[in-house]
Amino acid sequence: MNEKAKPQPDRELVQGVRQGDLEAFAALVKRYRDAYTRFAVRMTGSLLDADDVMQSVWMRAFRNIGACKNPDRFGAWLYQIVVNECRTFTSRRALRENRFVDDPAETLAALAVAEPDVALRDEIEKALESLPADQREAFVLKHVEELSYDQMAEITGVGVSALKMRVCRACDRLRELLEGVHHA
Amino acid sequence: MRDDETRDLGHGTRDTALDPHVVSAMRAAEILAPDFEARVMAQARAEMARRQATSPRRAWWLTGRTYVASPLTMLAMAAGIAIVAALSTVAATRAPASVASRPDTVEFVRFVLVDSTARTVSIVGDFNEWRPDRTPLLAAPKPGVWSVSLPLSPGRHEYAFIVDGKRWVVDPASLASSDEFGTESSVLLVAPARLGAS
Repeated sequence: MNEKAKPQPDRELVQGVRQGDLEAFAALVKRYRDAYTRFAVRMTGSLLDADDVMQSVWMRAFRNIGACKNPDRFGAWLYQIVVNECRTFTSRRALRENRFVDDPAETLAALAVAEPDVALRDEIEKALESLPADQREAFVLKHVEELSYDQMAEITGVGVSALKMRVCRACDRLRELLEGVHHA
Repeated sequence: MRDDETRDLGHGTRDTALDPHVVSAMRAAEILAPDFEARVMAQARAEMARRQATSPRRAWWLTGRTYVASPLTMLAMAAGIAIVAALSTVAATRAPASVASRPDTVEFVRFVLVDSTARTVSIVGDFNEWRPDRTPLLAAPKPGVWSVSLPLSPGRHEYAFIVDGKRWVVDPASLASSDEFGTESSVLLVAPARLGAS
């Protein structure tokens, strides 16, 4: 038979994990391993930190799989955990390192000369990092992950109007910070 | 919808999008290290092993067994069960009502920090999303003493004090724990409230 084997639905894999099936858990990790990596990287500012966060996300999902009320929508449930873990990470880091950027424009100007792509990426990360965490989260979900406002509201637990306001403010600030950077 | 459009979002706000080159760079894919799955699965296996080591063995009454007894033995067993049931009823009437726990209740916990140099102190923890602006401590009449009482649900809580808005201080009176990112926090275990406890 040439027909590809039908992938096991999330619901069955979640049931398997609940019964202690590690292979089912491995299948979920394989299926979703990079689905939310980009979001985590944009929120934490580095792939290394995103790796830590995503490991923590998967262990939280493993321990609390019984709380996944709708196993058919495991991905959406996992996304909520990713958002929460990123919030915890960024708030703790801000407190630990006292990473308050006084003047983001000055920080951008102080960046070392680098390859164009790397320089642009660094500037984007610095600009995103300079946003308040709630604005950064809303912006990344909207303009990087391209979610609808309804999807964002479901994942973040924040109302649509508040999310729109956050995205709008984030866009305005990022436009100021990043205007013309790719032409440099 | 194009990225370079200006969008009217209602209530007077506009969603002004960014330069397409910038957006394109932001949307570049990010891939975790090749060994990511292996590391996660190693942790999951360790977690499973811990659970199996600490979970009680299956109760004997859940295991299927066949017993053969004579009518005389059955009569003796029935009498024994009746005596145990009668004694249990007497014991229950004498037992205090405070043995049942109420996991849905909260306990008030008083946090105190002594720091004579502090100008402001707040507390951050899993109970306030680690937000330093949410829970300030109040200065006591005695100089350098700061305190606050918080309602906490039963279970394990992690927290730390923030002095003068930026200094992270673990509670010297509690156990310390490092999280997965290397930050040291204090640990507090809140026991469930008991029915009838005053």
